[in-house]
Amino acid sequence: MASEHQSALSFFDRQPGTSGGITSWIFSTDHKRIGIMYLWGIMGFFIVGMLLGFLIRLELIAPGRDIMDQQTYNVMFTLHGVIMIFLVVIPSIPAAFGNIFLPIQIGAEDVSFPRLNNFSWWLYLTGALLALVSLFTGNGPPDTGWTFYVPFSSNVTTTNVNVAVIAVFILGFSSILTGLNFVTTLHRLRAPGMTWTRMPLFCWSLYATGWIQILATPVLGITVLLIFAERVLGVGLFDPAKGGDPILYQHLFWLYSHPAVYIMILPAMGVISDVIPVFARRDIFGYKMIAFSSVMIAFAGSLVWAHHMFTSGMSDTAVLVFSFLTFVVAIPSAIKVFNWVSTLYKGSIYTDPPFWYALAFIFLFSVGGLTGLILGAAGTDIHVHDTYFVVGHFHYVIFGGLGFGLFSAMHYWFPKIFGRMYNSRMAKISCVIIFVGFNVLYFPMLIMGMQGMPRRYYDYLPQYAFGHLISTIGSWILIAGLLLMFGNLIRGAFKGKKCGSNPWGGASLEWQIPSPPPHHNFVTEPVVDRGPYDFRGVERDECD
Amino acid sequence: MRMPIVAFWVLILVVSSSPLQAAPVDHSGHAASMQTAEQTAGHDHMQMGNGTTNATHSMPADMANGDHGAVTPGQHDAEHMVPDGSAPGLGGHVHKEPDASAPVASIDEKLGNIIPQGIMFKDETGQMVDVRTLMDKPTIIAPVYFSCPNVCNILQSSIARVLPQMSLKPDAEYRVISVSFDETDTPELAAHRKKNYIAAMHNDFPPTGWRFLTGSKESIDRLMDELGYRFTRVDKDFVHPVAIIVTSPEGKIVRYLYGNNFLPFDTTMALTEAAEGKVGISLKRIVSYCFSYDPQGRRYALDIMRVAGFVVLFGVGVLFLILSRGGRKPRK
Repeated sequence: MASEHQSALSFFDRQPGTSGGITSWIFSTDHKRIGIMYLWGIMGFFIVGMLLGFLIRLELIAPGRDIMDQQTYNVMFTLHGVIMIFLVVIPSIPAAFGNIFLPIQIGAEDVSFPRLNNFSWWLYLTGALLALVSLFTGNGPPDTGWTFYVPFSSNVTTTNVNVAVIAVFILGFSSILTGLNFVTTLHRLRAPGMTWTRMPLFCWSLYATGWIQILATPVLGITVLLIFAERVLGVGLFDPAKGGDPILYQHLFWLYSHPAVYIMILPAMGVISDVIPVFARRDIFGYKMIAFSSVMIAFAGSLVWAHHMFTSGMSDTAVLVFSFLTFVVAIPSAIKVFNWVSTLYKGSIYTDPPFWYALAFIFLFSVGGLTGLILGAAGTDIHVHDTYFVVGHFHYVIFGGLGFGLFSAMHYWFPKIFGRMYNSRMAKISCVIIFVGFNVLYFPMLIMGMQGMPRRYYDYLPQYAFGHLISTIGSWILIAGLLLMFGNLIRGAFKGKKCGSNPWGGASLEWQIPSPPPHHNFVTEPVVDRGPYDFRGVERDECD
Repeated sequence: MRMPIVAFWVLILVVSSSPLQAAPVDHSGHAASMQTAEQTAGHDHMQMGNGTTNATHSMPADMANGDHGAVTPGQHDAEHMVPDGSAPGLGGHVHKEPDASAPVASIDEKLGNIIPQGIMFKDETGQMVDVRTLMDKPTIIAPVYFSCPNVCNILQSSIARVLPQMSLKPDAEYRVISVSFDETDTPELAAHRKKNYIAAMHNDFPPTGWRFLTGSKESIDRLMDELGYRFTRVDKDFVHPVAIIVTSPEGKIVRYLYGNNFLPFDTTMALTEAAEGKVGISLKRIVSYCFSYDPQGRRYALDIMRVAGFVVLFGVGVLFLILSRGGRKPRK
């Protein structure tokens, strides 16, 4: 079965008539190759960010100085944030898996603007390189925290904020152009019969994400340019002595950065919406509501930014309004969780690794979401703002949510991309270790935050020492699990058992083409007459 | 094709890495600007003290001290942008109560206050009239005194210059009232002044459109109190703020415009806002949405945020329409 496809050329192979080599990759306009290049970049930077996190936790294992001084510590958490957010999490699922699978899932040959797609990748690379440059030149990398709050970042610090913000500016354009590409592709390149309500929900989530990327990221672009202008030209927009206001910066920054977290989580939710039906062998419960809720999250999530600023001195009216809207935006997320769980009901469950990670996602994202309500309620937020409670919350939603969504996507789609299967048992063991390590690392943070441990602090009072110790030990367990998982996936990608086109029995279009996909996605343009989760007559194509 | 692309990105990398390690711009201007504010404050006091010699120098309202009701900390008028530490309490001077000897000239903004009926003045023909009956349209009230040797002329000349440039129709769509706060002014003097200003507008102005009122001390005190207009007599002259007040047809105070140099645009805007209670869309009303009053600069400024927001939303709408109507791309 699987061996039949060995002779066909995959998109990894050199196309006949071309010279091959590195230029056929870095200048490629093939969405699959671009997706692969993003994937390697993202995984590489994930490891870097993970190491930074490891070092941060090592410093915090006990009060006082352990392995680094205060300035270095500030730099560490800044870099951890900047790298994880801008270089890993925001591009991860859309740029890597979205690029590879969006066109295939809608029956198209490529995205609407393939050369723009390549340009987006080059912008990603340039921004990444510039960020690296900021590490090794001048006064060292920034120590402002990933949020670059003024006046520290504009008036005080002499570190490489200028270079870092330009890197962020360039990365922003990568994101905008990708979003534009996806939105246009979804409108214009769907195959005949692929109506909006027959698209996989992964595509719907990328659609909503695309709109946020187009509308919100330019605000980030202009905000970081304003930081640059403050530092270099002394413009005074954020300086009260010149008639400016530092709170303006916070509004501008969060105006992007809150929708940014929806850029992060919506594609992951889309992955889960695709994975759960396959492993429950059932059509998803409430397709239209899930699609609608993606768009609602995108819309409502753009209205809640000032819930990061409840203690900034805003008026009570503003606090009230934003708190209320934050509760509103929780509703569509909850709809999704209920629909996923309902899909499992009376399903025929197959417990493969993608499904394990998806279940972990649902649990961890729910924990994160509930802690988000405590933060969204203005009264309780006063107590926990800028404490470790916030750190715990966002790691639960971003890492527990998006991270596990990413791992699920990897385990689900790597056999399609590489045509080889990883070791299933090892994947499940890694999942358990990561899950345990994750909770040991982040749950104490929720408690410590409630007890008053502030975030971004280099040192702390002895009463928090036990919590920090447990947390650091959790980080070791987590890292062990992550390394095991990555090792298993990479080994599986290159040396695993060969796979056919449909190892999981999926019903969406990507499972009907060979693994790995060929250069041209479809021999003839597919005509779609069934839904993406219609499993009638769909068989698993077990690997050798 | 590829070499220029690669060269471009190398250039970006090189250019952006080295020269930009600069520390932020030195903001030592901060200390200097705070000093200026203090000096200005001191200057104010000195001027006040010399009330007798400089009696006719009227203070622009924003340079005065005293308990401003809605004063903004940025104390610069439209003409000279004197930078100051605009944090409240830095350059802004807060006095508990005015010195008994120091003359008070300030505006205590009473936006939203409705001028009551029954305040009687004599108009320029000597007829007794209730001020409110003259204010049944959006009205510009200019508190002046008709024997003012200095700034009231400038103020009213400014009005006379601006009124013909406004697109609104006088008497039909708005009125102007110059009301004297000098109880010794007479209707004859008022009529004389009116003749001058109507002449300055080439006699091309309806006489009922601009009234010149005089009254008793009681009426004056009552009206000025309602307007929040504080002034002090110094012998035969006054120390007083330079401003005009715009009211709505219901007598509600809508806007204070300061200084003696008015832009036709600002005055039209203020009157349009004043007329807002009425039915009917006019282009001015739409334009007024794009402009908002800037209390700091005390003038109307293009609300770029609002306009840009609409442009972006419109652009997004157009994009969405094109995409959804565009349909599938025909396959080659």
